[in-house]
Amino acid sequence: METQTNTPGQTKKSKQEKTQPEENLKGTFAAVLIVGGIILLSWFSVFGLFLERA
Amino acid sequence: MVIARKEEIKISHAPIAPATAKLSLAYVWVAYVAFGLAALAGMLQGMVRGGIMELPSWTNYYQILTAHGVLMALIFTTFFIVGFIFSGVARTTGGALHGTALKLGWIGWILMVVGTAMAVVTILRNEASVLYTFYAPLKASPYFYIGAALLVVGSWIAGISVFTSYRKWRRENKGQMSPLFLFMAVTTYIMWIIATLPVAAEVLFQLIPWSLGLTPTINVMLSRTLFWFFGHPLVYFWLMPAYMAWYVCIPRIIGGHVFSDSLSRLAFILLLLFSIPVGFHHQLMEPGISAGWKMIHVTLTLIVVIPSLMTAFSMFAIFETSGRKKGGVGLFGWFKKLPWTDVRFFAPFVGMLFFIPGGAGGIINASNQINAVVHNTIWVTGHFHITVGAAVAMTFFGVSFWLVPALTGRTLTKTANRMAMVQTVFWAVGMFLMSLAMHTMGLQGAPRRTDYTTYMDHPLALGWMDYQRVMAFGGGLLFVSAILMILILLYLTFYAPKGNTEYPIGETETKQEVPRILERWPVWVGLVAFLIILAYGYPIMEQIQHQAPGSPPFKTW
Repeated sequence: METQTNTPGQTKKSKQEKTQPEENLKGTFAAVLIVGGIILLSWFSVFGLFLERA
Repeated sequence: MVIARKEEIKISHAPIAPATAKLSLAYVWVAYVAFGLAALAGMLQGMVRGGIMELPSWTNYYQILTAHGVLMALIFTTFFIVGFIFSGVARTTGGALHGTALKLGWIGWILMVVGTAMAVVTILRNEASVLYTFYAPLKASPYFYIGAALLVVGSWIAGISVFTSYRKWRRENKGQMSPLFLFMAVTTYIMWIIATLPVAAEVLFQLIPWSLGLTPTINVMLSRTLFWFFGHPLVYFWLMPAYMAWYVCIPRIIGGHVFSDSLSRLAFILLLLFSIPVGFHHQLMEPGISAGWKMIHVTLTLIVVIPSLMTAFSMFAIFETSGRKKGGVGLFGWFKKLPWTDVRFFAPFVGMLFFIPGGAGGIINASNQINAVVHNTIWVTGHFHITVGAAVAMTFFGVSFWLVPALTGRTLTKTANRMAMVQTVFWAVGMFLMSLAMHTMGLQGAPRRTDYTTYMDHPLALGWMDYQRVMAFGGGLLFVSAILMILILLYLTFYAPKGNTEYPIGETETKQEVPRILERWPVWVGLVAFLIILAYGYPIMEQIQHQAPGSPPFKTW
């Protein structure tokens, strides 16, 4: 029962959600994943070089 | 008569009051004079290292290397940053700096100009070819160090000027969060003043007495530690004003909004906390620091990835929300809707693209084991050319294209915009070729800070030669771009048509609540002090107490 009860803050939030739909940030999500991928790829490439020369 | 009146009204709507505009412009122009000289030295350096030309007998590679590094990384950046921040602080606090702030601004400018002149004269007289890190035991003329100290003290006074403007604003707007630009300016200067205290101590108590012959030897380990205490946050002193343009000015330029006020402020607080206690990642190959302390610094360094990625997320979010409002559909349709022909956006955007491999390279440099692959190779030179030389410099160029006309009451004409686009493309292609060659050679082991040599025709070194020529070609393109930049700025300062130029300050789309704690400075300064004592307290105490035999000065040129 308790978990279903809306606190005043939650009610306010759900009202806001109705008036302001969530912005579409799918492209942003994909773009940051690409940045993360570049970071990992570069790091492991140089780490591979380190292991090869060690 | 009517025309004259219209003109008068237009000028009276200038975003910055004339006295403040004059101060800001004085800083910006010293920055660009230094930039021009530095670009010339850099181009010559590239040509010599590329084996394309030889220098006359009255100069040498290490002298022009020092001139390039000091003028570009220390003088151009610091002057531009101080000038830009003054203008933005004035713009967001009513349009003008108040009397005391303005006076302090000019005192700072005079000290910084005198300091710069002293450093430049000693470099030109070949008495200070100690490279821009002025590492002991290489010894420069005492005037070089005194000049560097004056530059730093001048920048502190500029910082105090910003603090007085901030205090005044807080007094007049009780209970309100400060404007985002002002908040970021204050964060940047708090970080800068804390970070420069140790290098001031190094210069005053170690380098100047030793250089004057008052002390025979110097504690090299301590001097390098104090240098890097400042040296890494210096990178953030370059980056944070660029981030200010990205977070606050770019949203307005592209017709969008600041994505999140709280996120922007939190990113700056994290940069304040984690850009200082990290200097040992520049000293991973130093035998005088134990592995445990290096590990603590590496860990803290990797935390800086968080505000950097928050910035990347914010930028994409700003672009996507703005692009979608203009009708962009699909996963990346919004990308096409960005203002690609507006250099005020295009130049910083290309800078942001360079920052992606720049950030990735930074994580590689800071990782203890793989630092061994790239340490002291020309990879590192390539790395800071795509970070400060592309991400930061191209943002500063993009800012200059609207800041200078906004300060002079002129306009960025369509032709000037087109020229600036050409300048941006030249800079981007030049930097891409030069830094790609540097990164590639570095991975093959080519050292940095070395005059042209074939190492007695060693096959490995001969394999670098083609890359060195590509590097020199890139340097040539960069020099052409630098000349164009200065011509455009001369036009925008003296010849462009009079008119109103907007000083772009973005706002959030709806009113956002910001946690009050983000502006409680005692909390953050206290945390910075704690992290610094944790990371540096014991190692510095150890270096002072158990100092190895000191070194006499060396002049290798």
